[in-house]
Amino acid sequence: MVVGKMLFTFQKRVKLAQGLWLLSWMSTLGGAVTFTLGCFLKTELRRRGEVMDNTDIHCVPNTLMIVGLASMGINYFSSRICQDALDAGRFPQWKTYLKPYFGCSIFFTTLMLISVILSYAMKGSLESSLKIGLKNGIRFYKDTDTPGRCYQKQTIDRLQMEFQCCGNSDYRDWFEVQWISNRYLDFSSKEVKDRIKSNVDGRYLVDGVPFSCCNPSSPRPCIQYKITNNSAHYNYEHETEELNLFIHGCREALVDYYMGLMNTIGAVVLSVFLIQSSVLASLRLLQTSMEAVAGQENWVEIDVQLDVMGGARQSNHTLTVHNNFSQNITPPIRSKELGQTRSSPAHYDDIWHCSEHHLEISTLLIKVPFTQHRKTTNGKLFMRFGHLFTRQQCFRGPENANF
Amino acid sequence: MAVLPVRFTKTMRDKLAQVLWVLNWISIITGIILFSLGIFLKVEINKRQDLMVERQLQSVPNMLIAVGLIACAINFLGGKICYDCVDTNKFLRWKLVMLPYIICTFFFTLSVLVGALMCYSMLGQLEESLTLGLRDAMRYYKDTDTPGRCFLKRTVDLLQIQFQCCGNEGYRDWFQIQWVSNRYLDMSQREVVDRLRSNVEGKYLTDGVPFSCCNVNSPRPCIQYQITNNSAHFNYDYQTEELNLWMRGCRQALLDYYTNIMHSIGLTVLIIWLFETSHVISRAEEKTVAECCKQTTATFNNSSRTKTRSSCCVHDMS
Repeated sequence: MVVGKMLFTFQKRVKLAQGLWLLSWMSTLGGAVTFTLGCFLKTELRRRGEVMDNTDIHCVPNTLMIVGLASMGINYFSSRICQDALDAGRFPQWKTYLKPYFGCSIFFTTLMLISVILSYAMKGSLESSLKIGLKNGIRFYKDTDTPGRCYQKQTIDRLQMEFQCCGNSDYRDWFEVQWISNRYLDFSSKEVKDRIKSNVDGRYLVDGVPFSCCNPSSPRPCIQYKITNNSAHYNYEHETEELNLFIHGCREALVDYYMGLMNTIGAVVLSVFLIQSSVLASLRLLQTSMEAVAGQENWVEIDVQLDVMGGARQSNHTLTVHNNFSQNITPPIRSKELGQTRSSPAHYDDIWHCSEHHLEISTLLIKVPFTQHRKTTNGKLFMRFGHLFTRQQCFRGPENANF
Repeated sequence: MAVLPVRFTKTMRDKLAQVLWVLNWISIITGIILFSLGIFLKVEINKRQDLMVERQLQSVPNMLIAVGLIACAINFLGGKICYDCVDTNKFLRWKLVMLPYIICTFFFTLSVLVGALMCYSMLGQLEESLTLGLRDAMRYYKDTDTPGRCFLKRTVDLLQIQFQCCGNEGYRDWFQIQWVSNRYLDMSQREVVDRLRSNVEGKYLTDGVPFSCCNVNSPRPCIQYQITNNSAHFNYDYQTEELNLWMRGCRQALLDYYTNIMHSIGLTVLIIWLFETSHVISRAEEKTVAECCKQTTATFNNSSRTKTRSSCCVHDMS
């Protein structure tokens, strides 16, 4: 089964090739956009890499970058192919490469679709990675003297202030962790000793949060210690107090941020995918239409006598050959000066001269594609040559003229 | 008589016209740059309007915006004239407008220079405006229930977090004002009453700062209350402690920020002014050459087909 085998007239083929050329350049732009979006997403993920436990989510931007680069290459070749499609001589050189080219293109286009699906599917993995990463970040908050962890405090503080969040799921996560280092605890004080004895692990737990949880929009100065103790602060009730600290957990804030980013990117990549698919489909159409006209191996020789319009020795050097059947006229052969003598045979893809001043013709032996001709007549024989050719200028000398 | 003593052939005139056409498009782009710089400066000043006392600060960005728009208009018109200049017939249309146009361009260039100089002079006014504005903002920090001032707390907090600064000159400015609202003070407590009585105006003064002064880079949890009391915290000496709070004053931080912006904008405008001046000179040159060549063409057409020389232009035989 051949995909997309349709018969195209020459005009339609030219229009298809031109439209495809434009579309493939648009698609190249789309590929570049995809690559840029992949780079941007990767940068954003790496910025918060310290609160993520694993890098599984990085497969999405990596795929996007690969697909973007591949798409630019595919579309560059597609534009070259359709440029050559208008030139019958150059198109056959692509024949051997077309099958692997199509295979590659379909593979990368499917990969583009997969990357869009991935960006929605990886939400769960992102969330679990953030959960573990944030839990560790909060646990090592106090270890500003341990090498490898000394910047955790800074990271978590900046994160909470920028994303306006507190803790992992909410601010209560800070109550379960000792976030004040032992270096700053006075072990001779009774209160400290009591707190350390009050739990199994010997941790100093408070119902307090770091300052980065404080909400600047709160009308009162921030209450960050003794949060659950209503009597410790005047006119304060912690169950109804909403503006004092940030309510959202950082995991939720980060997941929302990244999913928003990936949704936008997914929409853009989807439209690029549609453009790319249409490029591939049109290219396949062009290829089959080219093959339809190229596969005309049967030739018939006919003996034709052609009159120059208006007689011989005319300075008007344009000889048009038309088809007098009811089919549409393809661009007529231009400016041919045919063989001088009666007996010299020529076929239509032989030497054609064009002189500026006059034409002399007599008999002409022309090879015509079998499917095109029906009968010959003397006199003004109009013939159509269905082979794809460019509008060549006439040239002097015994060069081969390509039709 | 041309501005510069150079003889112009027709090809040279064509080349001059082409060069001028390119210069005109560059000038339009510089006009757009001026306009966008003005808009940027206006936005930056408006963003921190709560922290500045009203002075004549809006005049500089407004001037830049106006100058940018005029630049685009003048250069667009100049481009049109220049395009027509190549054809001596079309040039006749613009003959009357040329002289006033050149005078306008001259004044416009002067205003670009004035704009550049104003950028540098604005800094002095800005410093004064910022000092007073910040002082007032800190004083009204606690008034989150007063309409018109209810967002000052948020503004000051976000400013201190973003610019990494505390107070006007330093963190001690917070010790001299009451930044905790009376709504949240328990007047029945003895400690509160003592503090209120300890100064003439009855303000609740503490040696504490808001949370936005806390330094993110500090290795220990932020100490924002009882800052000057070494014994209140373990292993703490406030005189040697540098990482706990932001050390810089917000006035200095904002001033540095705006100084950078103004210097960059001033430099860009000066470069644009130099470019415009050279552009005006070349335009004046082109105008006089075109006029001179037009006269030469008239004499050329009337006389025989020989080379005619004049003081400013040479007509080639085609």
